[in-house]
Amino acid sequence: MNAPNAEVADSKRRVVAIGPLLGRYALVVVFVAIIGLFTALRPSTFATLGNAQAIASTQAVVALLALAATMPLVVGAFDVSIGYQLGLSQTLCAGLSIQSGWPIGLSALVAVAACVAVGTVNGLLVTRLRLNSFICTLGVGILVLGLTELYGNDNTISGPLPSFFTGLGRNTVADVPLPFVYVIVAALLLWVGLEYTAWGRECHATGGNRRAALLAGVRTDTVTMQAFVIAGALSGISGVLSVSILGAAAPTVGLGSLLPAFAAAFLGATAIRTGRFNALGTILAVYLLATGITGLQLLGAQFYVQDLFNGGALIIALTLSALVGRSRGRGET
Amino acid sequence: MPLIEARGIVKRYGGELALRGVDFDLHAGEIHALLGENGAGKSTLIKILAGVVARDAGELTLGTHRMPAHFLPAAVREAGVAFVHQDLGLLDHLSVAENIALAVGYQRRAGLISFRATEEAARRSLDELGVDVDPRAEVGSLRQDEKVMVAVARAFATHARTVVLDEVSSSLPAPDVAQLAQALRNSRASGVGYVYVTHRLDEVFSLADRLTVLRDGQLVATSATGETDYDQVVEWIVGESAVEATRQVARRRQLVPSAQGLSVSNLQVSPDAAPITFQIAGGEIVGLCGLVGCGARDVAAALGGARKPLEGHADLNGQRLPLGAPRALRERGCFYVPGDRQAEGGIIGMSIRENLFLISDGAGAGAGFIRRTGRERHASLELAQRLDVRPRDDVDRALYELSGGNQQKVVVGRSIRSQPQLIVLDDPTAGVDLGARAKLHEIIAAAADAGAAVLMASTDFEEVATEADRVLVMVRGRINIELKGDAVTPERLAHESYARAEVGAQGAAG
Repeated sequence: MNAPNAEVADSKRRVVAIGPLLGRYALVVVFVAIIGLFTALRPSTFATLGNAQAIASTQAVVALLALAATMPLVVGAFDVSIGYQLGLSQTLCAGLSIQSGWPIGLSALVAVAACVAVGTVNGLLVTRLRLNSFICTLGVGILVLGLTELYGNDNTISGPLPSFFTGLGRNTVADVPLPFVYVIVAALLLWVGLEYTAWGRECHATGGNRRAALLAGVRTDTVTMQAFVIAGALSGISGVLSVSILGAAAPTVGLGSLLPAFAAAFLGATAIRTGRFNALGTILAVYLLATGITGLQLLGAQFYVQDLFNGGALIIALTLSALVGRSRGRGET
Repeated sequence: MPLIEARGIVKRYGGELALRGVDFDLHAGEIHALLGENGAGKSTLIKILAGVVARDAGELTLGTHRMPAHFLPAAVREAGVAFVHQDLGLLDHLSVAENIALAVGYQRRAGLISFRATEEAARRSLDELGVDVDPRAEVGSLRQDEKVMVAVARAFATHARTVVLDEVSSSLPAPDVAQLAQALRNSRASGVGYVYVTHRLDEVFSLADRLTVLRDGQLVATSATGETDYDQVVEWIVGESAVEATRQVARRRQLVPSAQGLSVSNLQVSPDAAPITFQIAGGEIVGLCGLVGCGARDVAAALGGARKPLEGHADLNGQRLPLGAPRALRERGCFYVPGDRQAEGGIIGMSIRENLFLISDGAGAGAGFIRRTGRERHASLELAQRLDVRPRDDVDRALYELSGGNQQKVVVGRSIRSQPQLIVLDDPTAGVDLGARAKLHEIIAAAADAGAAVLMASTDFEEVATEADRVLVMVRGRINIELKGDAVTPERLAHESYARAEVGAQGAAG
């Protein structure tokens, strides 16, 4: 059996060699190329400060949600309830403030706390009952949607909000939209936590090989639990942020962002820290996709180009990274 | 006419000869045991019979079919040869009849499945083999030996007259082995011939008509079971000359007796194992060896934190160990090197440095914020050099890019880096090349010299004999004997491991 094994190992090594070629910055290069392309094609509409600001702030909610998706993925779990959590947070934040007259600060806090609670439930189901994370967060998510509809009566909630609150979503500092600032702050926090602390090491180890990590002394259940809670908090914050940007809420609005968020998290794993889910890669992917879509729309593409582009980019990126990552799945003996 | 006739089978892997001209035959109505240590060539021979691996030379006839040098598994089935492996390949939630029907097809009436006819067909196969199992019974509810016979009946129903049983008994408790021996002997009247691959010698004497022993790819002997005896067969398996050679290099360490160490009391890991008690002093390397399935691996898993024991406890330096809680064990200085490196040892997507410092050791490297150029990097470079991990000086290389031996050095390195008190190793050098093996042994000995109590569970008698200060031999979940000093030789370990179990021997009388 040695001979065929050696052959497989050889071909693997050749494939692995594509890794550095693809490189941690390949996605950055693609991003720059996209910007260059559309700047050349539509210099007057694409390459403007206004357009850059619009992309930066409209994508902030998806970006935060993509960070929420990334956290459980790092520890090897799915949380598909984050889209529904976004809807819950939005509805609670807007509803409590507009319909019940609560102070906006308190409404926002309750909205985020509710999502943290949902994240805690997810974490408990996955770590204590050993449920499959994908299926169980799907169940929890649908449940959350039901509760959201129960509370919000399935209506869009809109009304007057304090201007300082909407300002948090619409103003800029030094021409940088505030929502983009929040995204960068959240991404940097996650990046440092995951890449430069012992805690992050344990998270990556858990996602890399849960059994081996557990036996090496990694607190696999603890970090898994924490990942779901952080995902909940980020989903909650993205919900509050979307209320401050839109000034309104609807229970199902988060669902549209769920799949792009996951697409960005997976696409992001092909960059910066190749083969690993990482916060900077995720953010890079969110904005790369949004920039590409905006450019195509400025060229006259119809609304459906968004889904075609998101899906196509993800499949291409996954195919490339699977060619690189195939060797990781099995390793060599 | 023989069911299998193999003459001068040669198989070469790269430069190495796995089989050096082996003869083997099997007659109708015969149970022929195939014996040998790991790596003796048993599995290579089986793979050639199965059409999985092509032979380099020799003649092979299966039934009436002369087999060409290259043939497919389908041709083997056509020649009436079936294989039953340890996992049996049965579906537990289906009935016996359905499991058989999956292989031969369901009986039909007017195009629809007739369960009654399917059951009758299954019953005919079972009856012909003399197997007393209800075809309507759910397979999951059967004893393990009954399941083996269902697998045999399934093969028989597909017109197989040669059945290769590949280590089907290694997970069987002794009474079931006796039952299986009885059932197999009964079924010989049907004309089926069995090749019986096993590590357990006692059952060979209770069920086999003939036995063949391989060693280092060579045929050592083929003999009728009645014309040889137990000690003779062990000598065939282990080999006299190899024993002499290793005795000379046996390492005898100067032990500094220490009151500190590990004390294990009435530890019971699985229901069919006995509670066991033993001590390991600080600085001592104790070997725990035996055949595959003897329970040594379970004991290692329990002490390493991979499995929660059913009963009993262990104390280290006078403190009760939190068995079943890996993190708490690591914090007490207890480390575990699992036997399955791929599944439980290394995290192959992470770098050497990250694998060495998976968890923070509190004060030093890997704690709190990690600076990539800082303390952790220096510590891992130094450690990698001490472990002789190749490639050198590149601790940011991912584990999957390393050879198996180097991966294992990293896994072992993780457990020796911060003054370990106890190291539990499960087959630490399995599948590792000779150079890495020597290095691993050196690292382990150094850790013991620094004061750690070391438990080395291994199925490799030579490794245990040369590396351990004292050896506990396990047979079927019990410690059979404790050996130390000059009594520890690979030959003696093999003898004690192959010790007859009382219940299994009764099968021969029945």
